[in-house]
Amino acid sequence: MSATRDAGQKLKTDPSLPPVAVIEPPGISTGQKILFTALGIVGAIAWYFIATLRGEQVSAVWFVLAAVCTYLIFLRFYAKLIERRIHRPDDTRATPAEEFANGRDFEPTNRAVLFGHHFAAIAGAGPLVGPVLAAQMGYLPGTIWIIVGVVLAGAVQDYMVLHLSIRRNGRSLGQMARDELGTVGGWFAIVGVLTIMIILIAVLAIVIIGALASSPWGVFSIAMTIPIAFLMGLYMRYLRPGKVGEASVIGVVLLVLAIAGGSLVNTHPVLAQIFTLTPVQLAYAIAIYGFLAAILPVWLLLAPRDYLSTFMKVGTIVFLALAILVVRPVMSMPAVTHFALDGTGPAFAGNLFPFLFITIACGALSGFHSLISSGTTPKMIQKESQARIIGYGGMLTESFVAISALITAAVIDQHLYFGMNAPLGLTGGTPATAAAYTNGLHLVTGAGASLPDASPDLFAQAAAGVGEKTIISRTGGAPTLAFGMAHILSQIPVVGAAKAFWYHFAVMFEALFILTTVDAGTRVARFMLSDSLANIPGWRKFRDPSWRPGAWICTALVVLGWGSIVVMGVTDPLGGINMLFPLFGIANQLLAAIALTVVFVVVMKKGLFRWAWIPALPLLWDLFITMWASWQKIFSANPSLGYWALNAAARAAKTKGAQTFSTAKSPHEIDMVIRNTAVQGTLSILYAVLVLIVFVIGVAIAVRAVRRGGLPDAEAEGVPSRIFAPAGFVPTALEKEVLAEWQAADINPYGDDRLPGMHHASQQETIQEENEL
Amino acid sequence: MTRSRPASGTGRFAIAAEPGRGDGSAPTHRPEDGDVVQRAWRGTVAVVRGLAGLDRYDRYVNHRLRAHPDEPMLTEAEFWRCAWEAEGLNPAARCC
Repeated sequence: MSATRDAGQKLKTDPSLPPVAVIEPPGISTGQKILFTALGIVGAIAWYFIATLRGEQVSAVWFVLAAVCTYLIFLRFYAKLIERRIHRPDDTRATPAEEFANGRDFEPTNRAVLFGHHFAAIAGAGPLVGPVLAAQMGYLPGTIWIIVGVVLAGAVQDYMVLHLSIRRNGRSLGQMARDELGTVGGWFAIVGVLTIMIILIAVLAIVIIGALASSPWGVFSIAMTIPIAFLMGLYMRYLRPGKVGEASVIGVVLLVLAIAGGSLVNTHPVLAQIFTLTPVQLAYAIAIYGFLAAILPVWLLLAPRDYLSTFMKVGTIVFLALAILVVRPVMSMPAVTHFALDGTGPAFAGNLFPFLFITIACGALSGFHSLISSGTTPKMIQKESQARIIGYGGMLTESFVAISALITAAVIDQHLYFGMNAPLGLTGGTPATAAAYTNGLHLVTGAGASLPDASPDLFAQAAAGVGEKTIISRTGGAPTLAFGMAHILSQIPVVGAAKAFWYHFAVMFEALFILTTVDAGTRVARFMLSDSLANIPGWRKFRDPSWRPGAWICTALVVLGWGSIVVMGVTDPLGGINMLFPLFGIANQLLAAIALTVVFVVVMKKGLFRWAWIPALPLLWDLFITMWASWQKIFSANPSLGYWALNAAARAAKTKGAQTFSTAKSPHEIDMVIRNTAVQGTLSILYAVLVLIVFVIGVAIAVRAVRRGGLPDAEAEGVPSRIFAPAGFVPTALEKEVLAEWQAADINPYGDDRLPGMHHASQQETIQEENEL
Repeated sequence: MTRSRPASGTGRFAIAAEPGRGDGSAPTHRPEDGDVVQRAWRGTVAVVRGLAGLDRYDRYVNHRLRAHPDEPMLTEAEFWRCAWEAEGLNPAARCC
């Protein structure tokens, strides 16, 4: 008997088919024991060096090793614990992809392909920008939060939401919130999601404006993506209908030419003039672009650019990781700077606790992922047991991107880093004033000695090296990342010769997917808005997506929402990113709190009280740290922290008739400070209240669940599965055995030739369901 | 066959549970699959095509063939028009 138990079990749902599920034998194989012991030892050594090495020679390799070893160990043991104790994936049950297979959005997809899809959907500018800004506190706090945060919070959230949605026909977070928390909780969750989306789009737009302002090279290359996308779209629709591959190749070639051509524009006297835009001009340009892009047909702009950005995204991220391993740069930033403790950092204000934890959201814990994990990915997953590698593993990969971004920022010369990330009001904008500013920051080396003073030439040469007029006060994180990337790549022979090209390549790479997020986000928010408006009596017409005036009105309202925040941000005398990024981080983390509340409630409803700490731990930590940050942003008496304190101080200055206030240089700018802080303060209150209501409703349901020893939840009934696929990338011995049985029976285990076995969701139903959020 | 519930609580729809043989059996490669290099190349191409969405029409054709073999099928151009139309009506959010 023991011999058969050791080899595990194979489960059948249909006598005429080979097994569709396996139960792995308990215990860990010897090979795995050796592997994970080795990973543990290497990881521990790497962490030891990160924690203790100081001085000039802290190599980036230790960070990569510590991150990868920690990820793999937690993926194997912690995610497995969640799988065994909470999710208990049932591979005899068909996933939504199999049950509703329609050859389009519902379709079981190869796990490697789905992993890539999921990663490309969750990873955007967020994991690149947050760590770059957080580098102002030194590399250590950010590294610890990114790695510890992801394994205990971010990946847990993604994995659990994904599993929840798989068991609920691929429903979205908003729908699941309504199902599990009731109508009131659901509505608050949906309003929360909509408002958070608006601020998200706005902040990303400001990030990219920071990289494009007064950069003719950057503006030219980005502007060229629009005609390139048009050309690809026309090619795919009329010239060679359906030839998406050909169009993508043409697009990528033209894109590289556009980046290279930017250098000619940069040196051309007339063209350089035309493509030099101020931040305000860019803000209006992006708002107009966002409106048009969201109402134009998908094939003309969104779809072609999506193909470009998928290639660019995956390619560039892999390229950056390889470059870090090849160059093995050493840290220029110390482990911890004094900004972590005194809260006076120029990139964002506030102490390490709590502001580090909202600045680095994507990469450690990102609420936005819960929108991808629910909705899209469950409709493509082959087996429930694959959720661990795709949900948890996908988030680990994003965390690795965040570590790469942190390394990239931390290897830049400190004077340049702070000169780039301090608002214009502090640096003065010229090399001389910027050098004077950074020399006054009391920067120290990794070993603790004073950093030698910078000369104005440092800033001028750095700008010339990347083909820009200036790199001073290029806030928002994107230019810093591009600069760091160019800096690392320039140390590789041959490749490094084109430093300016790499800088603009990185800017383009970020701009491409930020624009895609702006465009797609505007569309999604438009549908959410029109669905909400359709609930008003007499306004039912808004539900019809093909009613053009309704689509235009809702799009215009959404663009007005984020557009006004963008304009507010770029004209903010105190520096838009500095003021708005905390709001963005708070919004994202509060969305995570909503998602974790839904997950926690379901665990409680299922009566798994003993294991409820797994979602409760990240939920309580996230809520605690984010509410702390919100509290400081709302109630702090320190004007550099509290929105309302700053508002009051600006009002006081105005009534006194002051001509300047802080970095505001005129009465008009003082008025802007008063208005902006009022908006930011109101939004902070709104987010905090919305999330607290959702949380309180969730806790009330959890308490009821404890009293009754569990409650029914909204899990779908499910149907038997008729396909088989391994859970991980590499099949286990037992999975190979089952695959061999499928092969012997001459049936395709993935069901590519047999699906669908059961139900058909009509296209109409699918659309309706998705539009609900 | 009797419905058996395995001890760990998985397998709600299982009608039978067999013990694993543990004999190390695995799918074998057929001659038409080619050698290691050919298989690796084909696998890479499949993943890249899948990632970029280039295989969507092929998958649609497969789906129609097995699910609605007697109904007319969209051409590649028509398929992409419909796919883009549907995408316009159901935008998928991208993350930050």
